[in-house]
Amino acid sequence: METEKLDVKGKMCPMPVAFTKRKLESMASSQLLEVVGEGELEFDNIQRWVKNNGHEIVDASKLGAEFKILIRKR
Amino acid sequence: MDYRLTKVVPVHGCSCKLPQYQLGRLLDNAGLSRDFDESVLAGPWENSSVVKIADGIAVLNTLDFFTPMVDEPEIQGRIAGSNVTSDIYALGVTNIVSVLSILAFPENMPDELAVGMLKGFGDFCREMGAPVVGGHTIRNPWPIIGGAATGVGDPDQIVYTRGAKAGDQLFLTKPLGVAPAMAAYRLRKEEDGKELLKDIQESLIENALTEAIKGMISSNKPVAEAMQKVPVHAATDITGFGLTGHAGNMASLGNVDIVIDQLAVIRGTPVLAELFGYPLLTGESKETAGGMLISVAKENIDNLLDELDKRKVRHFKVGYVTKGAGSVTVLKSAKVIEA
Repeated sequence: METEKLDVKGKMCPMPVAFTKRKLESMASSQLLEVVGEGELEFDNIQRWVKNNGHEIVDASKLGAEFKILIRKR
Repeated sequence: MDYRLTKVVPVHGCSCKLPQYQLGRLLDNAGLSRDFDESVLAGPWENSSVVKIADGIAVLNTLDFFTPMVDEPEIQGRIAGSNVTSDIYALGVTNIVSVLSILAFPENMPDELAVGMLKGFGDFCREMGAPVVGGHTIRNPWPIIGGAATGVGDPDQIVYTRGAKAGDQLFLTKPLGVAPAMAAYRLRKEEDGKELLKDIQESLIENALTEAIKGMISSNKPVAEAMQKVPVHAATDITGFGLTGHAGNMASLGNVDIVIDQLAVIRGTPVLAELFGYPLLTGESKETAGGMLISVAKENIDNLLDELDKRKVRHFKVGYVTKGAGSVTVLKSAKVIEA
């Protein structure tokens, strides 16, 4: 299955989590989603929401102010 | 005006508080969470510190400030005033003898916004009989408004977070849901936010944010007055740690367990919380200038509710206290009341 991509850079809280949630809801189980964004707060918020809702963080990395999170939908 | 108070900060209101575990670790490492003199009746674990200075006289101090929740400066000032004074009222004390204001001023923020926030803050405190007698202002990248309040009370009459007893019933005086309501307030000013909200009825959003703002600028002073009339075992206001966070504090300080069997929320906020991924229906959503959680023995419930009714304070039964060791459980079967 193709990895889906989502860019939440520049989006005000709570849009990064809300768009991640909405995107995951449209995907198939086990499919991967790569979210790119910016800011420490959103980096933490997205990962917390993903874990609390039973999905898997496959990888999470930061480069300067930007971040990339790879999520596997459960 | 191009400058929007809520747009220049990444976190809003009590959401900018550090998480409880992180705060606890910092205080422990700094040596600020222990070794108090016996005159200190309450320290960092309570809503206000309480220091006994003479027989029958205790001084209460609290400090509270945060980033903007709304773009209207006077309303923002009122929310901050409500939040600061609430930390004294949470202990059942209504005599606030002075308040100091704190304002953080970004370089490019128009003066009128600073004036508006200070005016709203001052007006709210004055209406509560709590005069603003000074303060401090700094330059800072984020706008911040708040203050420090000093109260005076009888040490024997103070209501602490720690006093909950097995068998008590728990009442909440404002419905939950400020975070999702105010997120909708911000998002409907953004193009991609509007797109996210497009399937939600506009009247539902309008009701949620109107009620959330009305709640935040409603003082908890009448609740403190009611608690002076009727013996209650424990109380705390509900702010940045959410219902379960503050209830958890009440449970651990009282060495009891707390069960939440009903969640009172602002009408429209469950659907918004679902859209944004906020944990409202697990009781974890952050509140700002929220209501009071009161733990009261069964025999005093009727009198307490009468006193709240007399003062037109809303109240919702949300749970009960059992023997235990400091845990909080939100029942999966908890009823959700949209109020």
